[in-house]
Amino acid sequence: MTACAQESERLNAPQPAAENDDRVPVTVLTGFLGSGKTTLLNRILTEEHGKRIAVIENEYGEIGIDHELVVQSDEEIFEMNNGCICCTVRGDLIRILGRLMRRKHKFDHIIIETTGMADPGPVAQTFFMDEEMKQKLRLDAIVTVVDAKHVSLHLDSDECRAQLAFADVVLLNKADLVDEAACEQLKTSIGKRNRLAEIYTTVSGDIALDRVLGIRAFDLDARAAEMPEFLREELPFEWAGRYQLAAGEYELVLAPGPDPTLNFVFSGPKIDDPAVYESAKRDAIPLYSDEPAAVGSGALLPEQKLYQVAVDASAGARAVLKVQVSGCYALFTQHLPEEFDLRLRSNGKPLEPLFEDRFASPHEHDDSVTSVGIRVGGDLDPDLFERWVVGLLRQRGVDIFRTKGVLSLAGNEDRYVFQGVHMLFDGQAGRPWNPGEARESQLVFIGRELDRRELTEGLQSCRA
Amino acid sequence: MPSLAAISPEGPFVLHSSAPLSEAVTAMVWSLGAEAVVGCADGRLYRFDANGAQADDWAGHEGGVTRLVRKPGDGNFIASAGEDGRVRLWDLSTGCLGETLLDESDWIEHLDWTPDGQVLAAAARKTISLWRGCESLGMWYDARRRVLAMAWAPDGKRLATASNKGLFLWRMGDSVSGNAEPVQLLTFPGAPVSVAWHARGAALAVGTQDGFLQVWRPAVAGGKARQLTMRGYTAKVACLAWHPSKSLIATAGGPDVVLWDIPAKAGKAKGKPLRHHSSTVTALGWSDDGSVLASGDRAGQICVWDAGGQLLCVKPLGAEVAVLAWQPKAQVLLAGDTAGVVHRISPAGQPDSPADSAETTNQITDESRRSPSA
Repeated sequence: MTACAQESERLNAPQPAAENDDRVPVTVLTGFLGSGKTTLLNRILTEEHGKRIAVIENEYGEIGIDHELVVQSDEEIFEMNNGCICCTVRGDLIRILGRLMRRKHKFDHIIIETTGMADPGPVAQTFFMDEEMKQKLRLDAIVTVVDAKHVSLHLDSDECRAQLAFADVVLLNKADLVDEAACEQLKTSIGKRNRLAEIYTTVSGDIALDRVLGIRAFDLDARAAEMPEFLREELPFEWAGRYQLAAGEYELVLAPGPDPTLNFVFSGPKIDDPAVYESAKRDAIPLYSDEPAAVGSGALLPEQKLYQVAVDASAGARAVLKVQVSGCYALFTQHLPEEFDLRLRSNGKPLEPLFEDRFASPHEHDDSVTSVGIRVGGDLDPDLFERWVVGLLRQRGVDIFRTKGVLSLAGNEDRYVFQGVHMLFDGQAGRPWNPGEARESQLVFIGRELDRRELTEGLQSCRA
Repeated sequence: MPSLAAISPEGPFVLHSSAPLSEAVTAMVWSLGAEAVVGCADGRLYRFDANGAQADDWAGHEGGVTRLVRKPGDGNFIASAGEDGRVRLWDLSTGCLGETLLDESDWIEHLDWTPDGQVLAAAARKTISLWRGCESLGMWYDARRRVLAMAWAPDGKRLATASNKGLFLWRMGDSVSGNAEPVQLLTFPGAPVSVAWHARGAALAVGTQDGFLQVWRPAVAGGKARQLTMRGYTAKVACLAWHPSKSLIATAGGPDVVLWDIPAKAGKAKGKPLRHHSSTVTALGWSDDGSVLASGDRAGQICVWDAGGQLLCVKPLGAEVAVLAWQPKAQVLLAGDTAGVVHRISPAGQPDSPADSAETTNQITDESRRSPSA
């Protein structure tokens, strides 16, 4: 299925299976001038890979390879007359690619190089919107090259934000010009904006070609099969602290913080075993999509439960935790401890955690590009989901650059994989759910001014 | 030299197919002497003689041939345009080949002769170059708009060009290489991909990327010019073919061929879908006498219909149909495909003779959707 959010096609229309797919893959290469895009392109064209590659570029470059084709394009953006303000396609690409695809000697791969200023949206949408492009070509991935030394100067420009937000692969190029710490910091910062992108550091665009070409980034089922934890870094809690606790009662003390409540999961014992800790972490994830149990005056036990403590604006809060067996216990908290000056006390004396893990930075309510991942256990109702996502993308499609998801739809034995670019979305049946596999839906939004709570509540409202 | 050998004699039409040429067929044109010239995606031009045998081939362009047009009134003179930015003239009778009129860097995507053969126009990006014979008449340039489709009016004095969100008219006599300002005939949302004039200039049709057909009808005495908007297409409306004598246009945007009987008085427009193709229609064309319509699709199937929309024959070719060209004053159809094969379809028994004009029914089906607008 492909549909504009304005239209409304059924969610379960059949699609050709990936193995019978003879469409030619297309890689969109974006990046600012001077990022090393052309160096990478030259490397791709000159390396012995035995592929016939056509390059379509927005501007004249220094490329001239005999056996491959280089065509210049002319950034020509067409609006589609369907009421979507952001449904635009590139007319120049439709014509150029149309002629290329009507040749007898086909190309194995097509690379579209865009200028630093180009919005990748219309380029990507062209492959969803034009019937001929859709039938003959397959968007493989959007690869963005950034200059590790100078990217911080552009990081807040709209063009750079858009290019990073759209990327499936980010090459942090010219990594030799910055120190390792700066490189790591950049990686973290880019990862925060786009949690789904693979980020590689490179020097002179030197990277194994199978990491940038033919990666099927738009084929979510293939991708999600490789990484069972599609949202692996996306946890609904921001902090986990592990404490060594003897049997007895402990006091959890909170100061007034940014929210009137704080949710947490209390697990243990034997959390000192890393495998037990990992499974407790995993178990805590679905608990976070449950209705939380309000904490009263009674003592709380380490149970499979999401607790919610009300935090008074002046007095803060306190709760009693009861441990019956000595051992290592963990607290998985909704927010970072410093936001509520969270402490665990024993007989009035504060305890320090043995280990702590931070899974997210504090709230970012700026207008920068972020990504929000949501997970909901169990099945979704296909009609409710369709209604919700169509409405959401219609309303927010301008700000939502990419949407990706793997869904569990009621009554379907297969996973449903879902892709969106602005208001356009495309979904198809993926592999079947394995026996014993926990059915759940995961959805990631990348865009501007995303409201995690609104998106989470929206997806939760689609439960079957 | 490979020739067109008979491979499939069944049905009312006979199919002959050539050996594959060097590349996919991208353009085709008939001369008046029943010869045909075929342009390919590698820039080569092939001449087939009146017996269907391949006679010559020339290096026409570097990069693909985009257009081939015969000069009206001088059936052995053709012009070609290519991805190399060149426009070239070819005289098939004298063997004087390949004079280059224009050498630009951009693809020349549009090329058309006035119906009297006096003026040749070629468009690349925002520039339209004009020639009378080999003599340049200068050019029209509109910095704001790119030419996406182009067609001369039957009077040979007006050139219609379609650009993003609009249809424009240039007049011979408009200043060339000065501040020529085309007249805007229509405004519509979206981008045009095709444009075609009614045979007597009574209407102008534009097909758009987003699946609309826009029709402009000039003002008649005491009235106003009108715009009709037709929708219901499932893909871009890339194929337009006006009937050579009736106010009937065949269009395609998706697997259906849709016939519109454009009424003399604007109001209800009637669309009749002709259903047989199962993939997107890529080429359409009426025979010279308007008795039969041919359509070809992406899967390589050719359908021939009578003027009333009755299916007469179906021929599978094997590769996407790129171009269709009816022989002038005959019922012989050439079809070029993306595998580089040229197919010749002619009525069984009486090759090259026009069949009787089919009876037209012009029935309107319930499935047709229309939305005429003022």
